[in-house]
Amino acid sequence: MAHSDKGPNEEMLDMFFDASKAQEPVPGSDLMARILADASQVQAGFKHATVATAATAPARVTENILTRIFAVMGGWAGASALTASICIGVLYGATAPDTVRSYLPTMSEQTAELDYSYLGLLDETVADLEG
Amino acid sequence: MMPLDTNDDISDDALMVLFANGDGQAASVLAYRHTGRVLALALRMLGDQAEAEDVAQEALMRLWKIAPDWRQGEAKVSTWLYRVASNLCTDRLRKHSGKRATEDIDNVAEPQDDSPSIEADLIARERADALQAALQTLPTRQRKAVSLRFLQELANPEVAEIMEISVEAVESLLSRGKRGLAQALEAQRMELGLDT
Repeated sequence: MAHSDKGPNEEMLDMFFDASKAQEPVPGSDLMARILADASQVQAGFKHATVATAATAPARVTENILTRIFAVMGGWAGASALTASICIGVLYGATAPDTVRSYLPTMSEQTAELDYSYLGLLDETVADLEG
Repeated sequence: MMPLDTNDDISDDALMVLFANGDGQAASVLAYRHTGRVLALALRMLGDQAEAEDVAQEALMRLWKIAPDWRQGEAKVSTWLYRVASNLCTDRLRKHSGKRATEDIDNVAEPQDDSPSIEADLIARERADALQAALQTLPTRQRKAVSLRFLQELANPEVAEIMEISVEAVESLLSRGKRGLAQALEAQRMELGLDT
């Protein structure tokens, strides 16, 4: 026990302490209302902080995604090269379709001849082996 | 009002987190759980109801403000509140130094209730008032230690934590505080019916 210095007045003091504990003050409704009003006010500050974070969160996410894509492309140099490639592709697509189309018949005929000659050679080889 | 203070299954730490996250009920439970004790300590330290209520309100206000930064498991909410309240009381006593220290035990207020009541109740109230007046005659640190140990019924290590001193220092303050109280109350013994 904490109080080892039991003296002649110990019992008397205990009676006073017991009496005081029995008269424990009860917080009045006015005090509790003030305390809870304080709590609401302080808590409202927390809510504002949360709302502010939530409001800025999408912008931050968008910004992060764009920044990351930009970095993956190699920064300004990569972005410039990609833009130039896209422009050249569009230019070719818009101005030179006839040039590309002129090669198509020749390519198809050559492919057909090659296919037939290859099969003929195969037939001869097989016949020789069997004969 | 709903008896929120009966919500004993929720820890103070959990309530602090809930409060910081915007739970409106958490503040009520914490307030109803702790205000009485803080008010009692402040009243015993200051001997003035209005000032004690101001201290209780200020201590709780500081609790609300620290909620987002509250570190669970590091300190009990009750201990933290006692420490804040006792420091606030000490500050007020310094500002009003001399004013309350000179209060004499003879100035103990008469009971407000004049209606007939059981003699034992009157004697108990007189004893409580006499003790309150005797407490005011003690040096602040003795008063704080005695109030926390014998009236708030805290263990010596917790009193030491609140007062930020060693347990040995607490025991010394308690010993001297009880001697001082006994001397202050001795003169009142016959009048209060303790020798009957």
